[in-house]
Amino acid sequence: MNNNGNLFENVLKQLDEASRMSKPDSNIYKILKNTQNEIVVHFPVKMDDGSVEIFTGYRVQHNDILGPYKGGLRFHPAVDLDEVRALATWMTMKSAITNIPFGGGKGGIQIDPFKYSKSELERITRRFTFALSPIIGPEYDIPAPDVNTNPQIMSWILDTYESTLPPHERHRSNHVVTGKPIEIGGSLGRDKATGQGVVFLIEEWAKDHNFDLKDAKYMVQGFGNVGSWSARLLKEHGAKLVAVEDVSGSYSNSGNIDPEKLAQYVQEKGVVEGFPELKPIKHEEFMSTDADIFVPAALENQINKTTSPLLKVKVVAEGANGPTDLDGNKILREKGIDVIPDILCNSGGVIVSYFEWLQNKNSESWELEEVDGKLHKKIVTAYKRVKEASEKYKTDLRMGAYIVALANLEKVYKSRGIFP
Amino acid sequence: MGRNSHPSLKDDNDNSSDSSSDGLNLFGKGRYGLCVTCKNSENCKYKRERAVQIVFCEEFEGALTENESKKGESIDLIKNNTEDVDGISMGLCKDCIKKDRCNAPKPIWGVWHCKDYK
Repeated sequence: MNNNGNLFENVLKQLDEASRMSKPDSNIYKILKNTQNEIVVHFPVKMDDGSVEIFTGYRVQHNDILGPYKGGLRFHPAVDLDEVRALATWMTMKSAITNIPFGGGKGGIQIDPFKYSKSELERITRRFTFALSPIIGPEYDIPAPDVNTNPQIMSWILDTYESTLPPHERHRSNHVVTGKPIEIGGSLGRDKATGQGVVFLIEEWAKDHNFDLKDAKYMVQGFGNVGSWSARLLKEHGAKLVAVEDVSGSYSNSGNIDPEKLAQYVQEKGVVEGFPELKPIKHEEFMSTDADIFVPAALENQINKTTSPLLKVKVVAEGANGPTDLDGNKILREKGIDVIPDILCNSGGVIVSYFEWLQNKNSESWELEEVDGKLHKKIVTAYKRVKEASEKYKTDLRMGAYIVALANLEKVYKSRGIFP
Repeated sequence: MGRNSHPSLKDDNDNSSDSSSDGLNLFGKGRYGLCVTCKNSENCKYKRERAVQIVFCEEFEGALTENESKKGESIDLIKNNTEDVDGISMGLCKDCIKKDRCNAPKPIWGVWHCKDYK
C-alpha cells in the first residue's frame, strides 16, 4: 500500500510530529492514541419479504475528556472497526481545536442502504438505535449524519431513542442526535455551515496578509455542499471563480464563473459538465490555474507530490478532509504556500452541530444571523489560537492545529487527573 | 450472512489484477472505500491512488441498485434543496416567491411557519 495514501496513518504521523514539537505529557499522549470504548452490535431485522437479516453495526467512543462523544453514523459496506476507530479519533481532535465541549465518536452499519426499501431501512435504523440505546444519549454520545445518513435517519433515531425513555424524560432528549430536520430541532445555517467556515477563515487569512479578496481569483475542487457554498460566499467578497473541478472533469473560464448559477445548474444536472462558457481542461491544467486561492472540497490526497508543484496559489483552504498528503504538504511548505488545514478549515459543520445541540438543550431556536455570528466568533478564535501556536513553534498552521488540540486535551487531563 | 456481508460482495465480472489481499479492495476494478458504492465511480475523473481506501468524499452519491421500483426508495422526505419544489402541494412554499432560491428543507407535509415566506 502507498505509505502516503492512508488518511489516518497521515493523521497519526502528523500528530506524532506535533507531539515531538510541543512535547505533551507522554502518558496523556498514550491515552489519546487509544480509543476508550468500542461496541460491535449484531442485530436482527425483518425484511419486507418476511426473512430476517442480521446486521453488524459499530460505535467507537474515542475520548470524552472534553465532553460527550460526538460523531456521525455512516451506512456503507466499507464500514469496519478500523475505519470507525480512526474517524472517532479525528473527531476528538476536531473538537479540541475548535474548543467545543465534545469528545470524539463515530459509528455505522456495514450496509449499502440503497439495496433496501424505505421501510426496511427504517427498521434497520430503529433496531440499530435500540441496540445502541444503552450507550448513546444527549449528554453522553451524540450521533449525527455521515455517509448515506441524513436528517430522515436522524429523525428515526431520535424517535426510537425517545421511545426507550420514560414519558416525562422524552422531550428532554431532543439533543440525542444532531443534523435533525429544522422542524424537529435542527439548526438554521447547518446547510452552509462548512462552506461558511471555510470562507470565514479565508477572510482571516486575507486580513493577516493584507490581501484584498476583491478581484482575487479562486479555484474550487468539488462542487458539492462544501465547494458550492464556499464558491458562493467567496463571490460576495468580489472574488472571481476561475476554475472548477468535479467528478465530471476540470473546467475553466477566462473571465469569471458565476457560482450561484453554477450551483443551480449542478443541483439540476448533478455535475458541472455542460455548464455554458466553461472550457474543459486537463486535471494538470486545473491544478496549474493562475489563481490566488484554492479550495479543495472533494476528496483525499489530491494535493500530492505530483500536483503540489503545479499550484500557483497563495493559500489552500482545505474544505475536504485529507486533501493534502504528507508529500504535498511538504512541497507546499517549501513553496511558501499557506495551508489552512482541514481539521480547522472544515470545522464549521461540527461547530454548528454543537449549536444545534445547545439550542435543543435550552429549548431555543436561533435565527440564522445568530448562528452565523457565533460560528464566526468560534472559528476565528480557533484560527487565532492555531496561528499563535504555529508562530510559537515556528511551524505551519497544520502543526499549529494539532499542537492546539494536544494542548487543550492535555490541560484538561492534568486538571482532572487520571483515575484512580 | 445476508446480502450485505462484507466479504461476499465480489464483482463476478472482475478481471482486474487488483484482487488485493490487503482487505481494502471489496469489489475489484480498483474501487475502494466509498467508491465501492458510489454511482459516480465508473466515470469519476478525480485522480485516486490505487489501493487507497477513500474515507471522505464530498461528492459521494450512493448508487441505486437492481429492483429500483422496490429498493432505493428515496428517504429524502426532507430535502435541503429546491429540486422538487414544484411538487409541493401544501404549506407556505406552495406560493412563496422565494422558493426557487430557497435552500431550507421542504418536507412533504409542508412548512407552516417561515419568517422568509413572501
